[in-house]
Amino acid sequence: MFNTWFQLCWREWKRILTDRRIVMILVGGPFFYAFIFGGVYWQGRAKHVPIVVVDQDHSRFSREITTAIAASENMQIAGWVNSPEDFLALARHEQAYACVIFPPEFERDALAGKKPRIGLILDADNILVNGSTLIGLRAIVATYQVGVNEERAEALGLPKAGALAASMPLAPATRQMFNPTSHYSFYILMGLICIAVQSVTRIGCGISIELDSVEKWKKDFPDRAVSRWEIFFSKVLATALLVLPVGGIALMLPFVLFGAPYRGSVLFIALAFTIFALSQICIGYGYASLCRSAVVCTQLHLFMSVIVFTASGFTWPYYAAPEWIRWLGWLMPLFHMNCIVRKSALVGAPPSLLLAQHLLPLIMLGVVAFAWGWWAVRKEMSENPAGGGRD
Amino acid sequence: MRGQRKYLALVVIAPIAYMIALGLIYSPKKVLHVPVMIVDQDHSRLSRQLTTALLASETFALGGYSETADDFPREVALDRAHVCFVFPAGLERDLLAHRPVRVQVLLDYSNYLAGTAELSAANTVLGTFSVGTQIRMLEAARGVSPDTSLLRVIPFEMNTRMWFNPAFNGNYLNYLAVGLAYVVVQLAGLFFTIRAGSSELRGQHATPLRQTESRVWIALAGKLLPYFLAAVPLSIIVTHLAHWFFAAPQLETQPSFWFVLIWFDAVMVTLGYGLSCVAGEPVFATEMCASLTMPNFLLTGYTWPIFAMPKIMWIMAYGLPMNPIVFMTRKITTMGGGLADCGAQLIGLAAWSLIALALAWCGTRKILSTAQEEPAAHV
Repeated sequence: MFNTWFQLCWREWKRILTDRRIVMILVGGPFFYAFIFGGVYWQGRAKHVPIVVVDQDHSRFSREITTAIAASENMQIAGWVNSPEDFLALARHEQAYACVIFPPEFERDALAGKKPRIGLILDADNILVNGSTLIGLRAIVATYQVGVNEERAEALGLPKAGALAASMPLAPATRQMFNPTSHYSFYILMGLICIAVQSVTRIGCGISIELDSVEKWKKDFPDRAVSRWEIFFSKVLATALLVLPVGGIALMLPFVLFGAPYRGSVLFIALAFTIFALSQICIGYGYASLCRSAVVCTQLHLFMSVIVFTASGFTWPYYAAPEWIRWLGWLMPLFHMNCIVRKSALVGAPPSLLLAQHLLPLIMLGVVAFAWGWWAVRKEMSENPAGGGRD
Repeated sequence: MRGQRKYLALVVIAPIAYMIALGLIYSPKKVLHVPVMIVDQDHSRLSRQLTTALLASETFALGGYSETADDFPREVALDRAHVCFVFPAGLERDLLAHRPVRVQVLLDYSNYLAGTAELSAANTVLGTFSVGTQIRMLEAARGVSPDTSLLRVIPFEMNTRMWFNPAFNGNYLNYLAVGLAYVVVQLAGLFFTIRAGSSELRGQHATPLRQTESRVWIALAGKLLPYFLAAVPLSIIVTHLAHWFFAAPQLETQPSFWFVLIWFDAVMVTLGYGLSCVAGEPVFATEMCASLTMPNFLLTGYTWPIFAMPKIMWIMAYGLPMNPIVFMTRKITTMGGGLADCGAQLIGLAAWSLIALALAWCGTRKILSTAQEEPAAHV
């Protein structure tokens, strides 16, 4: 029996490995995307955002704050301009993303106890750049505000400790847990690799099933009748033997090569990934059967990939999404896989916590995918006995 | 285009469905109602006031109370809390005794976007509360007027103005919809013609192109015109859906916007046809498109800025066809700029136009040349 199984799987494997298109997608795809995405987010934070300064005061105070801005890791001074109007052209040419303005007599008003204002114009087009710049500038200005208040309180005769308390009575002590350096790639890379594995597996399976047929099985095994169950199992198994190591290595790259922290159980993620990959193979067959054409199926997956990733709640947090989107996400294996990877790797959640919340739903969805895949393979083998595509 | 109804239906319906789904996902526009865990070890009037102030913010919703912050990682794993505020014992007493006090804020930064929104909201609420407390302390201790105490508490102020997105409050729909629309505009443009070349080579048409006695350029123009005429209205609908239905801002009256949009459509339709001719079969041509378009959006610099990428990635970022169109659209529709501000992007799109034309020209020549070979074969 094992010999027969081995022969069936070997036949499927040979078929996949000798088709350059399927190999390119299933083997090359995950690595290609892992390296591309890893390279894009290599730096991890939007550092050194170029900004310009409009110093209409030319005072010691304005120069001090400018020096503090230049010393910040978040920003770099791209230049000085005469007026805020000059910033518009620089923003449109991507040469500056923010403009800090010190109005005339800024220092004199501060010393006289009047309330001068620092102007800040931000190119609010890009939330990531804008957020990083705004947080950096707010921190610098708040530090100066506290410093000035502290000096004043000391001048009024308060001791140093009392002066600090009077200048900032209630200070938040913020701790960014699970990703303390706010590294963008730690947060996004593993999710992107999961969606890449999903897309390439589905596309590869769609092409693979269209090129196969009952007649080809009969030709390859003229001496024995091969049941549709055997065809289905050998297809799933052979594809999984290719997808699992390739996808698994790609999923390890963020931790091994790109330095993301890993606090979870390797075995648990491996188990979840196995169920996820098997589900994707079956879903790939399911879509192929619905589309009835490898071209339409591939195009459908390409159209869907961004939406599926967004709806899975990996970037836009699912707990902040509308209720129905949360339900939709719950019905996707990608949502549970992403949650398991993120919570296990970054949060360090033990398997016992994730078992009922994400692994069992993943298994349930896997069973549904399995049934769909079996139905699809059976239908394809009946309706397309000659194989070779219907384009 | 005849005989491809199912296929064309996908290319037309999928982009529209994509944009509607995207608009619905981002319909809350910003991160709201993040579940919060409160660890109140002080049980004072101040800690209760702070809790009320935090929960009054639209960003936060009460997830639960706990005795210790040690429960926080577990609550994060179970999605019951993603922020934790710890009010230490003696908070109110220390504040009244003019000793510095600290409220601990633990943020789940495993999701960067949510973490940043949470950090900003926490700083706003606690900062406002801190200033209010300081003003009251000054008024009580020194008997100064509220105006004077406000001046003393905030010696100088930062006035922030957000350009190009004036209603900015971390609004993701406004920020992402414009760029993400081009993912499907590009795919639709390419997929419209991805079978056009290969079907001619396989002779799947009732009147094959190779049987017409046309010049290469005339045959090419005649072949692409119907696809182009179908792609343009679709791209107009897709790029405007977020504006029409989800109130995303768009300065759309500029002729330069229509110019670049139509130009981009023409390039994509031509490129799809060219790849179709080169590949010779639609599946392989679709795969070529996939390798060109899949990483495209993240590489364009639209979300993650190009200056923050390693230099080696800049070549890919600037070299892909989506980079010019998303930046030109952003400059024209959001920043109110014109073609004069799009020098580098115009060069990029012109370069892709040449590549697309060269591929399409070679493909059409290949198709027409088979007309001369076939009669010879019959003889």
